[in-house]
Amino acid sequence: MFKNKLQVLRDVILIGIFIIAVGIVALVMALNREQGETALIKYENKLLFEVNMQTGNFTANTEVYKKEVEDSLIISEDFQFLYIEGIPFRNLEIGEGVLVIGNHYYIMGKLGIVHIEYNPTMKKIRVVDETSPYNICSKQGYSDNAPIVCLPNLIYITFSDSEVDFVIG
Amino acid sequence: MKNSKKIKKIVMLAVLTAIAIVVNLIESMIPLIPGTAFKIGLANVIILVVMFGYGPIEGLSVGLARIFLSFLLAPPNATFLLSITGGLVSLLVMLVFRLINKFSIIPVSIVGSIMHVTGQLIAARFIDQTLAAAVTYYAPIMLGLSIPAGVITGILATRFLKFGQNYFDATKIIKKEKQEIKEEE
Repeated sequence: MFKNKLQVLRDVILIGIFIIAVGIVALVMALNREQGETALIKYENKLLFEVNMQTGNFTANTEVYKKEVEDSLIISEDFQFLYIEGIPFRNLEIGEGVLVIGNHYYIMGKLGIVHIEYNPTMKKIRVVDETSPYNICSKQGYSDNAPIVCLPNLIYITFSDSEVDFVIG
Repeated sequence: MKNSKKIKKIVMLAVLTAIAIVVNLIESMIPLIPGTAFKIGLANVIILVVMFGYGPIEGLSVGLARIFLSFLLAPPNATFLLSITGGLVSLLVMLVFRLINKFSIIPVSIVGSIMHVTGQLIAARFIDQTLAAAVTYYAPIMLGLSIPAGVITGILATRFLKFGQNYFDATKIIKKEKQEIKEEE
């Protein structure tokens, strides 16, 4: 492999050019990262709801089902259904509607329920539970700037400025 | 004799395609860094081996066969579309550099793995804007990791070629190398 000096020179030049190009592109991309204060939870390109990372304020762009938080509230998740105190909750549709229980949000992804939690003390958000082959997004844990992507469920959590037009104050 | 050589070559190419697909499937089950979806791209080793052991056209056909067959095997979702576009872009760019015929395996492999990431970024732009935003966030890390990954696949392909020299149609390369050395002298 190193018998031919000209060959080595060519190889080194090619590698050098590509590494410099990659370095410049990566640097520009890293500097252009926008860090917003709002977590946007989307199904494909459709915004479902937003959570303000500082205050925990919740703004929905879809139908909202709210439940009061009680000590006795028992939630169990199945592949298809949520059971609240033993009663199946059937209102969620794929990419439509959100069930809000305190700081816990339930939405329906392509493969099943996606359980998202906002942690007010850490000021971070995470996917607690979801149905997917490799469970990459729930293994990722808490995040406040790195996007959480659940591709099998088509659920994306990105961080940027608010996208809802009718936010007041 | 000629016929049996041809058959041997076709069988070898088919076996290598099968190996590439199986390696790809196994690799997708084991994440390099737990909790992420980064992969080295070991299937690329096979395509490099075919490109440098047999020739650019054989490499292209094995690469396209691999992409087509894994397209039939896997569910057509967004992840998969990304990896297919990445694979195609990297295959075509590697083919161009192989056709120039002036670079050895490792630089071509590095270029291929960089192009794999670039192809995915371009594909994400077209498929889904939200996905593009998410992928762009990880792009600097992925681009950085693609260089060592390319080096690893390149070294593995070199080893593979040396190990299986007798099985491949490597005489062409050796002849060309000898010719180049003569020309320099």
